[in-house]
Amino acid sequence: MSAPLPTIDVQAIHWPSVIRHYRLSKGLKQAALAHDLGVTQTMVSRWESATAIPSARIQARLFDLYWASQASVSRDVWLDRIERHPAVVGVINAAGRMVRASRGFCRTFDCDRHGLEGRYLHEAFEGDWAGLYDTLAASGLFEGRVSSAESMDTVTFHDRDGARRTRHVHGLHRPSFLPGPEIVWLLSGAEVSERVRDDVRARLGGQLIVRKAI
Amino acid sequence: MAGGDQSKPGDVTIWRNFLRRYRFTNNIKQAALADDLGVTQAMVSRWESGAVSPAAAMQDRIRALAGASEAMASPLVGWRQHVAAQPGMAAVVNADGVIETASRGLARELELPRGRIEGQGIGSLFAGDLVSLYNTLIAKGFFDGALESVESADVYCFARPRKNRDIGPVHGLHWPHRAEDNRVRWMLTGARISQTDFESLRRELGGQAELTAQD
Repeated sequence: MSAPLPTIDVQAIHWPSVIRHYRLSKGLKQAALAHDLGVTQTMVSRWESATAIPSARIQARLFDLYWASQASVSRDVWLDRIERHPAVVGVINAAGRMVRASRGFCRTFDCDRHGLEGRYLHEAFEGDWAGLYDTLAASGLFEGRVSSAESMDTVTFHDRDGARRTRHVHGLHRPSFLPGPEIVWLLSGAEVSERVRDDVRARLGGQLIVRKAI
Repeated sequence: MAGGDQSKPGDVTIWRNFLRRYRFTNNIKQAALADDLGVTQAMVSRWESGAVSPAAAMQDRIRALAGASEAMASPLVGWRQHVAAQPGMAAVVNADGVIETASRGLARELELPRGRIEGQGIGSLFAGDLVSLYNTLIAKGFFDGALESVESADVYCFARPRKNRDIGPVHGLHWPHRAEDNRVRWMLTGARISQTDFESLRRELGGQAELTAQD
């Protein structure tokens, strides 16, 4: 079984976004969410207007609800699955550190897990990913303010042995809700050719699209 | 919601406002919306300038797209949309072997629009390894929840040979996902690999696929 994720100082989670976004994406009225959580509608309304912060128990419960809407397995199984994933899949924490890298991620950059895990994105890669991390962090991904993002990046990997490898990666980016409560960045992507890179950039109208949470 | 009758005065304005509002609230570029609707960006631009309103059939498509996005609010919640947006090869396949959802990456590799993949059976698109993988999953009770995951090394071949190419060797990871209707779906993911990686993966897996049973 995988080692636990390293703990880090988490940016403050923006509960009004997290709660409102979950509620609206499930099509629930405040009263219905209040019922599910065993609180009054007034309380939900206060959370969403940032006049109150949910208790630790409710915070954990909300993250579990998010989790259940994304996956039908436990977080441990999910993290284990990421390690074996054939595509480029990475889990990056609020500090910009790669805490998980899939087999496909390693294959794409021709390295082993230790060449990626535990390293900071801006230290291991030169190119578009450093700016991507800055933009996602500034947009509030780790606070629960981003719904998803899509990007077309060119990055150069700096292996620990000094070798450098450049790849074009088409990426999809989402928050993932771990216990803590902690929001991490789930990067999933695929290496693409230069021709595909140009097509994707044309469709995106640039390098990156960020979709904000409600 | 905008009205449907094109002859109605003010219709052009209603559609212009609706499209702009939809794009701005969802942070979607004209080009991306055009791509979703299967039209040119110039066409979206003409609708939004109020020069013309969308044709009746296109109005239905826009309603379907915008309505769907309101119902789901965003891709943050909703596993199927997450699969559809994947840059890598991914699909949701049901117990009958029908591809219900195909990822962007799969569409790219197959060189087919998503609409021509979704609704197709595995056997009508592919021949060889992927069909035998499906048969193995059926035989081992995958859709009854008997397996935790399956890792595979497959050669993807088209059922109807194409002049240019086949996809070739793919490393796959597969797991069951219990959908809203409580039935198990096959979550198929994969990435192309070199012939050398394929051969070593086959040795590692002890054949085409390694099955992990549910404990």
